Amino acid sequence: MADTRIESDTMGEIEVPNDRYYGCQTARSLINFDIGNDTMPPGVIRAFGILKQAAAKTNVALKQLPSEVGDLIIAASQEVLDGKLNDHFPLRVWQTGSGTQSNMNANEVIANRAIELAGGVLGSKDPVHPNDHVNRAQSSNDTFPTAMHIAAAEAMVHDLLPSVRALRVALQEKSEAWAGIVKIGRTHLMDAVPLTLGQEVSGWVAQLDACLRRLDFVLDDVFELALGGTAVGTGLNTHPLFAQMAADEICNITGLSFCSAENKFAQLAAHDALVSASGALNTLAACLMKIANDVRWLGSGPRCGIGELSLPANEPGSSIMPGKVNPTQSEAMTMVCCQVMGNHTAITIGGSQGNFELNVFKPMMIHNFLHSVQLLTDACRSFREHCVVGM
Amino acid sequence: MLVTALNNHIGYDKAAKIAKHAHEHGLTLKQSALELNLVTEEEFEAWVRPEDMTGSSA
Repeated sequence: MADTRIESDTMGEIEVPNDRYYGCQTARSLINFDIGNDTMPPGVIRAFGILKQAAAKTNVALKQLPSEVGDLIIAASQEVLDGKLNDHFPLRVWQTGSGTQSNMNANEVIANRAIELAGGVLGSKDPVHPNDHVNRAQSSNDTFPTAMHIAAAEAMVHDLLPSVRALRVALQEKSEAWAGIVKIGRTHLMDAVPLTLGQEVSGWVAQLDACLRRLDFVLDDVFELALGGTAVGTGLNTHPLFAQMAADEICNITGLSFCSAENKFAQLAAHDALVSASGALNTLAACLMKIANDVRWLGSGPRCGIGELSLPANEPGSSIMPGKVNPTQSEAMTMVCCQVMGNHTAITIGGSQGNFELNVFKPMMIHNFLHSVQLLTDACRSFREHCVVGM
Repeated sequence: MLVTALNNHIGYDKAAKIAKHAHEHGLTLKQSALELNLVTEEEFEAWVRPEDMTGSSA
């Protein structure tokens, strides 16, 4: 069997690998956007599986799609949302600013997998067409923003919030355990008046509590979905009930409180919700930077530093200085915080650059946002496990 | 991109043919659609109406 097959789209024919479900537009994007190594995050791919399945269920219910075709799309998109087809999503972040090629990547993979399930020929677009069926009542301009919000919300709710809460609990335990240790307070780095070590750490706990409240607050906007707006926000080529019913299906699939945004124009043309949510990540990074810095300063020494905290000795700290131990978890945490602040700058600039009906900085924005969420999630866990509990 | 209104009636691929044919030969969308025999004049008049494209439809 040949290694490639020929597929065609409105631009003509192109070879695609036989062992991949993606088609022409994905293949063209791989050639036209050979830029960097950053590929579309798995959370966005899963989100596309979720929204394509929700759209198919809704279109069948509204009699906009034959149920046989809908059932095939639902089965294939289940495999996408379960992560089974991630190898079929090779596209880079650095592509069209609307994410159209990743939306088509999802349409092509789901269509071809559905065709295979039906016993058809890959690339034939029969019985499932990537545009007319999988993309029914959708545009990249409303699906990509929807995928951005689903991926952002899932990562925040399932990963980041539990990790920050666990760090908060670990610090609270230290605050209580150290309630009786009186020490000198410092202002301007200079000796001030006494407080307990428990009181000092309670300030960090309160900072994290406020960060958790901010994350909850910004999530409300992230739960609003663009799906149903199609090309410019008007809902062209959708059934009047599509947007609401598809959002309800996305709630059923994810178990999260998504809703259909009241105004779709804003959801396509701007990403203020993600800029705001990134702002909450940025504030969390500022908070964690302060905590991690205090921890390493208080742990400095052991003979010639402040030496008020004893930090866990996790690994040799020097290749030349025998017995040296360093505050490496604080160093990893503060580097993560720098990266999150940088990501927030990129997200802010991208979010400010919408023109008329569309913002075309979408893949960069969600790539950086999910990068920040993952780094903060992992750094909070690592800092808690390998530093805080052993202090 | 008024041709988008034809998607739900004749499919994306045929609608794209009409758009490309019109661009290549300097035709209006309607002239192109009729030349390619993909819709009738009555269908085109009924389906491609900018004032009907500003919202969803059943």
